[in-house]
Amino acid sequence: MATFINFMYRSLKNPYFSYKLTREPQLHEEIMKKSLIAIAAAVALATPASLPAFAYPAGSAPTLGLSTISRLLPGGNVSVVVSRVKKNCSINLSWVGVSGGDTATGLVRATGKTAVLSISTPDTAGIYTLTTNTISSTCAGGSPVALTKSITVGKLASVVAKLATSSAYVSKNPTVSVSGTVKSGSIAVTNANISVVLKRNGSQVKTLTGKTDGYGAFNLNFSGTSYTAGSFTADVTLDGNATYIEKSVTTAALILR
Amino acid sequence: MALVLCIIYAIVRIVLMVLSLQSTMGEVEKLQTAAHNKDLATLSSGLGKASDAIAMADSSAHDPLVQLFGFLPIIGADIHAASVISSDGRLVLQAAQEVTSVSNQLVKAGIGQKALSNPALVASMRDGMSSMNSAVQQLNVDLKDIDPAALHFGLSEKVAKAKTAVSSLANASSRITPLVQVGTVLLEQPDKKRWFVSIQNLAELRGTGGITGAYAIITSNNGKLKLEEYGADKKLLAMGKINYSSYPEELRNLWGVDLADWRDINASAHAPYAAKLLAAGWQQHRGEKVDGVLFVGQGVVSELSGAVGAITVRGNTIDLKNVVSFLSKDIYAKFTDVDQKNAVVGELAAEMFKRLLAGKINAGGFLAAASADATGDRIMAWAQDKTTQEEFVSYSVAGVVSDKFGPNVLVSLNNAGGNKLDAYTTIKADYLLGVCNTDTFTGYQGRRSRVTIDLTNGAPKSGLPAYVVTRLDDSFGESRPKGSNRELVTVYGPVGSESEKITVNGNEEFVMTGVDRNRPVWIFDLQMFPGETKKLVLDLVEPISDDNMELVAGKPVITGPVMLNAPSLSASSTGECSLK
Repeated sequence: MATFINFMYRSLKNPYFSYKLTREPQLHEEIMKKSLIAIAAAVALATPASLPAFAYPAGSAPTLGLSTISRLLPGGNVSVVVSRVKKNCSINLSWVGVSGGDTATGLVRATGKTAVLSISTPDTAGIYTLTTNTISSTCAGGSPVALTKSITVGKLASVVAKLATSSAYVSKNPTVSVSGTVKSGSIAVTNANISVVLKRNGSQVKTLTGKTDGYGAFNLNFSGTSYTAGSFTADVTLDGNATYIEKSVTTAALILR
Repeated sequence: MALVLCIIYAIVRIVLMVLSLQSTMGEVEKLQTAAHNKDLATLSSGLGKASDAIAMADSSAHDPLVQLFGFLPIIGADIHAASVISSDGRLVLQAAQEVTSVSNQLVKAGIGQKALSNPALVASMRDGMSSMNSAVQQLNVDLKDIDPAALHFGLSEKVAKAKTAVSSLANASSRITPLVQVGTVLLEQPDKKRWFVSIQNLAELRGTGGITGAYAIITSNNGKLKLEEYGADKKLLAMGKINYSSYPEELRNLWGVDLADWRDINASAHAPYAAKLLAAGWQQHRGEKVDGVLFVGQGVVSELSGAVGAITVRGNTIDLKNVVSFLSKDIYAKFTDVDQKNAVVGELAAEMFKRLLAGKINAGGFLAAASADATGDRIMAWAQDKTTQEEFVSYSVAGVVSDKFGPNVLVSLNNAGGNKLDAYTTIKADYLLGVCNTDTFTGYQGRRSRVTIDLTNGAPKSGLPAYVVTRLDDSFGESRPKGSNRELVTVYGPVGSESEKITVNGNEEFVMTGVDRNRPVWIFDLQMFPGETKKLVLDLVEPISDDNMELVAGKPVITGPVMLNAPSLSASSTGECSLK
């Protein structure tokens, strides 16, 4: 920062600039103004948005409060109140990385809080980040800060999977299979897309896709594959859809000799 | 004939049990005299005699025929009571005998002042205390189930007295044991280790207890302890900000704190986070490696005060009876100048550490102070060394927030007013496991549960010093009469749980949410008027299955804040759930 300011100072002291400034006093003022803006911008950019405002005691920095947020489905609403921000500051809410996602805007009241802001969740299940605009140091009462909150939209499922083989010896041309169950609580996740990546010593060997049956079960065989000895694992992924969030698990290792 | 013989045999056994118990009680009375005279040798041999006597009673109590008599009307309750006392009491006395014997040897070896000649003794002391604590807690729990009014043969009064005495002993033991566990781990360190002691002020609450009001640097080296440095928080603040780049990023905004500020680093209830920041801060500013951090508050200080005896500082005599009140309330009224107040605390702590490290310890005073301690304070310890840290975790003194599945709820408090009003804060919390057969959105089979918290600001409306009632948080136009406070109440839900409804005094509340240690957290930001109580209710759905779809069983557990006024906690369940 000091280097930057020094550079600006030296630039202004430059003979060419001095000549122009003597002839054009308005230019002088304009350059000074732009310099200050540039410095302010540099300060703002140099401060990561995730840093908290300098704050003692606890709870002094702006906060993003949510009403009961559990059990959100795609297209549902989240109610938000941003607190401990100076009066009349503007707060914008948006979803990070969601193109065309909903936004909401509100002004901070004298109480330091916005009114209840409502924002729709994205259309597909997933874990999203809700963010405010960068709240300036004037509004935050400390360092500038963008408040973020990770929000789960949709249901999570549990995937249990294991690898099995017809023989532990590669010389016998074994068939390796992966089987398992997908459930969300007590409910079987049926007809859901499953992808499986078989790995040997951490490197990909083969990929298969399939679907869960009416009981949430799946069973995929890596038939027609020849193996070399090593430690095999499978990454099993339940693809995300309108209801369920993508979920991946890795099986326990299977050793082929 | 056989039946008559059996009855006679059982009667003889019961009489033997009663006589053995009476003999035990006689020995225990002699023990009190030995303890008063600090005669460890007599104490040890007396405990041996008492153990022998109670072993005989225990043998009779475990006789199947005697146990059969326990089902008889009228005398059944008496036999059951005698059986509990003899069985549990035997374990207590056996453990006490070991502890006393080891203590005697440690005192002779010059513990704390000379190099350790036999490190195994220190470990024996710790193991003995741990066993004795388990035995005392079990005896206390079992005695609670006995109704003295239902007993005969003069047992009623004796058992009622025993219940009171054991309850007091259980309180003392639960406070002393962690101190011994931590202390012996320090003494055992074979090489020179530097420990940062954060002396927390529970009048201004934080997740791990209180704001670091003062600190001490202690070194341990093969059984020898040395106080290297002592200072008030001002000295830490003068060092400058802490680089907190190692702190979990997802937690940095959660409590609205400045993690670079020495006063704000312990907002999370997970003590290792704060410990690592304190160690990092010391290393960054002083260039010295800190091997471990201890957190103590006024409760622990009161026990140490009992151990070292009365200390007079600037005309004020501070002893085990007034130390908690002095350090949390009276000091602010007597010393309105902050520098003077800090100096008083410094002089008191320096003298206390000096006496402790010189081995000037009064075991009776230590026990009396621990027994009388009504605070919600508890010592916490963290070590850089993995093995030592595992030891602290195994003794449950590490202040670790569990990240495992199970019906566990934890409540913590952070003072958001920047004042010392938490000397007047009280909390009552209840955790109820409710109906089964519901699923969580987080993908588990689950059940409903409810956490209810009554938070009270018991501060008076007037009469407190300005330093105590100050409000350093920004005002946003709300009414803030004298004695009003602001609290951040954090509730750590069970892993995988979710909230269905959150209310304060019946109205839906907007709360800060996040995840700490794999657990959902809900943070309430509450303005508290003097004398006001607010009721917080969280309706949750929590898993009864884990990531492997296997049943998560266990009784509900609620852990309260480390605070000056011991929290009132309760947990219950409507019954076990099973997986579909």
